[in-house]
Amino acid sequence: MSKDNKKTANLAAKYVIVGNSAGAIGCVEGIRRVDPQGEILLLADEPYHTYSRPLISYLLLGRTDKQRMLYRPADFYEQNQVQTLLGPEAKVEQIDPKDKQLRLADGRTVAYEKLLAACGSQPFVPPTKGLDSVKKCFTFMSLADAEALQAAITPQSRVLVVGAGLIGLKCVEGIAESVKEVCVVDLADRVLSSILNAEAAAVMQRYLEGRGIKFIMGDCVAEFKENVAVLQNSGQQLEFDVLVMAVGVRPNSGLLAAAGAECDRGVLVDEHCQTSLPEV
Amino acid sequence: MKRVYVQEQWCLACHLCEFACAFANSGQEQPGDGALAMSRALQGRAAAINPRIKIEEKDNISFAVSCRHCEDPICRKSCIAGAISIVDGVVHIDQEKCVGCQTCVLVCPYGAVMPANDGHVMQKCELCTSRANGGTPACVAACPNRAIVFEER
Repeated sequence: MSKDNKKTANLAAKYVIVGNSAGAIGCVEGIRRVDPQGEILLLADEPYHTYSRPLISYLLLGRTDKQRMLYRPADFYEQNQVQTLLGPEAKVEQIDPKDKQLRLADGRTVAYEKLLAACGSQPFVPPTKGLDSVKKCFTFMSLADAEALQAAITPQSRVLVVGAGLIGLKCVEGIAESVKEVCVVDLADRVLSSILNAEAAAVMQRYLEGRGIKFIMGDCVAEFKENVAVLQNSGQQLEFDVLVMAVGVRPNSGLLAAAGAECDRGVLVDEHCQTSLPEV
Repeated sequence: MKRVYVQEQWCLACHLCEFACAFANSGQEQPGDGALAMSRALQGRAAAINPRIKIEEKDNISFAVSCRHCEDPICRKSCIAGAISIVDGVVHIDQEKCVGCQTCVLVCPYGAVMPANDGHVMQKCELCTSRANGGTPACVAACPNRAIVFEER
């Protein structure tokens, strides 16, 4: 540990990992298979032990709880000798690939020999007229999202879910039994359009309709007026109490892009998942 | 590590292994219990014993299928809940953490993972590591023809 970049930084580690979900944890386990000793520092802006993101719908269903949602045992970091910085102060603001340093939200700098950016993705919320006027608008991606949604729904809630993809329908599964009604709107002609053909999608939609879920396919919201959504094609007006935007996700590539990594719709990597930046 | 292996040339498709498995995992087995206790416990449930080992048969060939305890199990990689781990070589499902998404059922190349009785969590052979009678897995002990063996290979 005698490289120059380590002398000038507040913190330093051989391996620095940004992120704390499946990619980051897989990386820790992969490193430890070949390097039992090298220092690992893991940074994430969520203040939690690693948890399973796909379980947030099961959390709403009551099939799991925050303790059981842990993606690895409580002593995972100690067992694998991983130093962690978890919370908003550990949010990485900038990557400096020349000095091989990161700058965190609290101003500290972190030197790395090798960096993994396992930053995941974030919900894509299409800019829609009047969206600001909706008081209870949620996305469905993180534990915080799920907890906020759970706090907002009541047995009397009418929920409008925009997006009939995996995220939208997992959200529907999570809340269907706890609210008065759920309506799903999607521009596609069928549910789960990215993974199911028309025949399979029809089976899925019929099943969900049998559970009381309403679907409006081939349409999208042109405008929101507080708790009313005006649809583009049909002109139909839908009243709702709670809105969930689940149209899709975009990769969190901004950090790497700003550092000069080649990007397209996501970060471009070679066959070893290395970006165009050295040691990243 | 010792694993369960099948010698299909000796399998009679008698399904005794399935009953022994269901009994061993029923929570009703007491140390020293034999076939009589098993038949009492499972009486009338032949259609729904839900064992972790299953006989597959067609024409003159039959054999028992249960978890292979892969060294790098794809079920573990696929588990969205982090509920599958390797404990002393045994691929183990933490049923407290399992949410029943059934991804492991989809990915297992042997078809050796299945829903437990309540349908909300998954189960598979864990080599009778929690069995009251200990030692040899129940399916191996029950096989009348040594078509299922427990050995190091």
